[in-house]
Parts: sequence; structure tokens; C-alpha cells
Amino acid sequence: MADAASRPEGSRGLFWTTLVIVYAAIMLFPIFWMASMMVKPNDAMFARPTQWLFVPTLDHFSYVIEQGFHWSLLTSFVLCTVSTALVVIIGTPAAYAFARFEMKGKDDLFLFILGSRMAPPVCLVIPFYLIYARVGLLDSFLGLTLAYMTFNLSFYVWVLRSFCRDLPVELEEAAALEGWSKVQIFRRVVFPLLRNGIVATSVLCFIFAWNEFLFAFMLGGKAVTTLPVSIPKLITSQGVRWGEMAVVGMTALIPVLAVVFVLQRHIVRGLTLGAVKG
Amino acid sequence: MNAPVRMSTHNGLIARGISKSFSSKGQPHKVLAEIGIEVKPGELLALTGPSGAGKTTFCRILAGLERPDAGAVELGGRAMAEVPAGQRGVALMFESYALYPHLTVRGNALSPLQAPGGRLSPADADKRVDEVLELLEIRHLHERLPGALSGGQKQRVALARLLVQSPSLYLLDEPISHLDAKLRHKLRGEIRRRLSGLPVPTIWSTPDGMEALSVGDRVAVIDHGRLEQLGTPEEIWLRPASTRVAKLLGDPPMNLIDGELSRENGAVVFTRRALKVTLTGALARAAERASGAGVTLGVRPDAIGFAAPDAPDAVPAEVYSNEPFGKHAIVTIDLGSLLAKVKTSMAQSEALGADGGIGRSVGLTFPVEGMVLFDGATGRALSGD
Repeated sequence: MADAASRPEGSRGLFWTTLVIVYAAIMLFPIFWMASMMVKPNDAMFARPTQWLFVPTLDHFSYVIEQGFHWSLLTSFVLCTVSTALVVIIGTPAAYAFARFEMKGKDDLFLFILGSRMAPPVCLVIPFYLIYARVGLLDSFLGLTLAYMTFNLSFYVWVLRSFCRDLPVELEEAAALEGWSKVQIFRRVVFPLLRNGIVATSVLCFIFAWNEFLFAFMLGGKAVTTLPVSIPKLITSQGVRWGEMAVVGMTALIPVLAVVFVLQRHIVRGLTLGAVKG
Repeated sequence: MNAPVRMSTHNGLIARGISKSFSSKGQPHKVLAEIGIEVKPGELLALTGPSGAGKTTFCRILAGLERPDAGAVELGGRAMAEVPAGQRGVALMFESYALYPHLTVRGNALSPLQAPGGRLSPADADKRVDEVLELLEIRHLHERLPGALSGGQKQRVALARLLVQSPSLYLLDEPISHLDAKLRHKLRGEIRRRLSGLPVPTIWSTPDGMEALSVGDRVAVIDHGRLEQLGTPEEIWLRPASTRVAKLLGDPPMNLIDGELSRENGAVVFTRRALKVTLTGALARAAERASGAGVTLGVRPDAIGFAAPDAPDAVPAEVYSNEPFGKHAIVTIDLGSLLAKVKTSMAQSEALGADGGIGRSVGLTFPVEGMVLFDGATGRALSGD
């Protein structure tokens, strides 16, 4: 169904294509550079002039495995998945309730939820640390899961509420008149229509958790080390292990790219909002 | 509201004294004031009134989506006060159609039959949906999602979802208002046909008075939350109970002319500046009942006739504009600081002269049978019977 009239004409099309390619190349160059560092021997790392051709080495990979960085990767992955899943399970009904039901002090409560997200993380991490130290949640998986849930839940509820508000209430009323119960209406009508919004928002929550450093650094420890916290360990007394850093950095990038790639369709629809049309 | 269930004489819909207020900015705003109607099984009541009159609120109260402040709804001989929406057995067609966007046409039509409390087996439900989709000629679309349908097709799907049900009341809230004129004409007749013969009371709400007259066995006119008139289409067309009803009906609607009554030589005369109309027969008797001298004369556009400007009893006027519509024409006439519409034949319209005869002086005749007299103070019709 290519529409010849709407296609940019030859020379103009070429110009834009070139521009986009150049832009993409500039944006992707650091990633390419990091990828090349993964297999670059240490003596070629900062050689001047730059060595574009070298014999690739797997030394950096073996060092990273030896040092147990794959456990940090696993920790990060499980932590982010579990906390995001909990956020979706708890946050979806909460967002729906905020959007649909009348209750006393709803606006104040909502502002409070939003406020917990607005506060700088540094302000929150100290009370978190003190409380965790007292109840014994420091350096525990549960402790970090709870911490990530706290700041992601408010964000999730806040964003998903607007998705809920965009749903025409008539759909739920129509279902209610047909005789469906409130829970059934949520499952049959509301949830399927919110799916794109839920996917888009939870991917963002996952990425926030994945990239998080401060809480993981302060509340984690030897037992629970996430990937971002593990990276500084590569700054050693013998110098910075750049190749290993590139390996860990690239590894950290891959799950995020994979998630966005697989769920692209939902995310785009979710982020453009108003995807529900009768 | 908690009166014991009274056995009624028929098991259709009875609504008594329905009142409802909403508060906006702290001010209570009355939306419905003591609306009472009855609809028998198999009867179609058309509910009409300008937008904002309270039609949708009334429908929502009947369906149980809204609670009335006062009044009672009875369906099939049962008081509905404590019956939740899902158990009333009301099939409602929303103004927006409210089709589930993630379900196919079939899924949408099946939904009411799959709901808990549905009495049909899955196979029977499928069969029922097939029948209705076939009936509405949308069977071939059954795998489509609502987003891929045209307005008319969506409307049919909404109708299918309505017709698969065996409800105690059909409620159609502005079912064809959002369609273009051509589809409206096609589907109005079609829906009417599909609903007729079903032993279920039906309410069809519409802001279009003419649509109400054409679909309803009886018509209820609501304005400002009050029931202005309830009667057969003929009664409402011939004897609008108030100026509000008169404004709503007709294309163009009735001309409403404010003026004064006086007596000249024993005859009752309606006067507005240069316009003088002698009232005879029923109109003269109606004039006796006016609460004061101020009245409103309603003149149906198709009743006004043209005559020579100097003919006896003819009202002098000037042609203001002339719009031919093919089979009839609407001529706007200037009665001296007052414009009135006349619906006339094409021949008459062309006889007014080149350029539609704009600016030309003409004479008009006002036949008694085409006029209704309204009280100037209350706006209620004055009866001469």
C-alpha cells in the first residue's frame, strides 16, 4: 500500500536518510566502542593512534566470571523482575481505584503518593538505612525488593491512573448491566484495555530498578550486590580494568534492550496513550 | 421508597415521581423533577427533549446506573429500588455504543449471554448470536474488532448486543444520533422493525423531535427535567402542550409569535404590531382561558398560505429568504421585526419571482386549524375544547 504521493521525493529522501544514519552512527558509536573494548587486549586499549584492528581476546570475560560478576547479574535480574511484578500486582488495582472510585481525601492521598516519588532519593535512603538496620533488612533481598517497590509503586500508580481515566466508563457500565461482577469486569474489560499501559509503565519501572545505584549501594552489601554496584569493584589498586568494565556494562545493557525490543509494540501504543477507541 | 411491592396491572415499566439533583460547585442542580411514565410490554416510548433535558439521566436511573433522589421504578411487576443494575435485566444501548474494543463483533454480541446468570448454554448462545448477526446483516464481520468498523456497522453491533438479550426493558439512548442523515433514515426504520413484536417495553431517547414522532407508539417530551407532555405522536404534533414542546417539533419548528389579545367588534383578535389575526372557533374559545392579555400564537410553517398582498384578511409581509429543497421550499418572511418560516410547495416558491422574490411584498393567510394558542405567562397550550 505504498503511496507514491506521500513518499519523500528522491533527493529530499536521500538527505533525510543520510541525516538519520549519521545521527544513529553518532549515538551508537560509544556502544560500538564499548563492544570493541570487551575483546581488546589491554595493551591496545588506549594505544595512540587508535588500533582499529587487533587480535581479539576473551581474557576480560574470564576475569569477570572468575570474580563472580554473573551472580550480580542474576541478583539484579531477579530483584528487578520480582519488584516490578509486585508493583504491577499491587499498583494496577490501586491506580484503577484512584481513577474510578470516590473516597474521602483521595486527592490528598494521591499527592502523598506522588510526593514520595518527588523527594530526592538521597533524602529517603538515610531513613531507609536506619529503619533497615533496626529491623535487620540490610543486605537482604527482601529489603531491596521493598525499597525498589516503594519508589516504583508511586510512579506506576501515578502513570497508570491516567491510563485508567482514559478508559470510557460506559464500557464498565455496559458490562455491569450485562450482569458481570466488579471483579469480572476488571478482568474482562479493564485489564485487557490497560494492557499496553501496564506493559509500558512496568518496563519503565524495570529500567529504573535496573539502573538504580544509590539504594542498592547503601542497603545492599556482600550478600546482595546488584550489577551497577558491582562495577566500581573494577577500579582496583592495580588500575582500572577497562575491558572488564566494558563486559559488565554491555551485559547490563542487554536485558534492557531485549525487554524494549520484545515489548516495543505495547510500549509505543502505551506511551502514546489514548489507544482505546471504540 | 420502601413501600411493599405492589402488584401492578401490567408488567411493563412503571416509573413514578423520579427526581434527581446533581450538585455542581456546591449548588444543587435539579436534573429531573417528578417524572412519571408507564410503558407497556411491546410498546415503544420515544423520549425526546433538547440536549441537557435529563433524558440520559432518566435512562441511567431506569437502568440502575444512577440512584434517584426520590421516586420508584417498577419493572415486570417488581420494585427496582434495591435491585442492582446487573440484575434488572435492562438492555441498554449507549449513545457511544460502548463496544468492547478488544473483543470481536461476535465477542461483543456474546458478552451479555456469557455473563453470570445467563440461562443459555454456550451452544445456544452461539446460535442466538448467529441469528441476530444474520438478521442485522453483519454476520460476515463477526471476526472484526470494533476499531475496524464504520459508524453504521458499530451501531449494528451495538444493536446486536441489545437484541440477543431477553430483557425486561430495552433502553436506547440516542441510538442513531451520531450517524449521518442517510444512515439515520435507514437504521431508524430497521431498529423500529426489529423491536416491534417483542413483548418487552422499550424506551428510545433522542434529541430529535421528529425522530421521536416517527419511532414512538407514544412520545414523552422532557425539558428542564420536567415532563412537558406525554401522548401519541399525533396528539403531540397537533396539540403541543407548551411552547417548549412546540419548539422541539417540526422541520422547521412551529413559528411562535408573542402578542396580545384584544376584542374588536366582538371578535377575538391576536395582535403583534402590524400583524393582526382574527381568532375563530376553538382558538377563540381557547383565548377565553388565557391568564392575561399576553399570549403566544403558534403557527405551523406548512399551514401558512400565500395570497395577494391586497387580498382581504391577508397579513402583509415581505419575503426575507427563499430556500428550495427540491420537493418543498422554506420561505422566511418578515412580518415586521419578526421572522417566520413558511413551508410551501416548489411551485409557490418559484412563483415568488426571480431570486426567490426576496424583498417582495406578499399576503399571508393563517388558517385556524394550523394554529395553537399558548398562555403568555406559563407557556402552556390553551385548549378550546
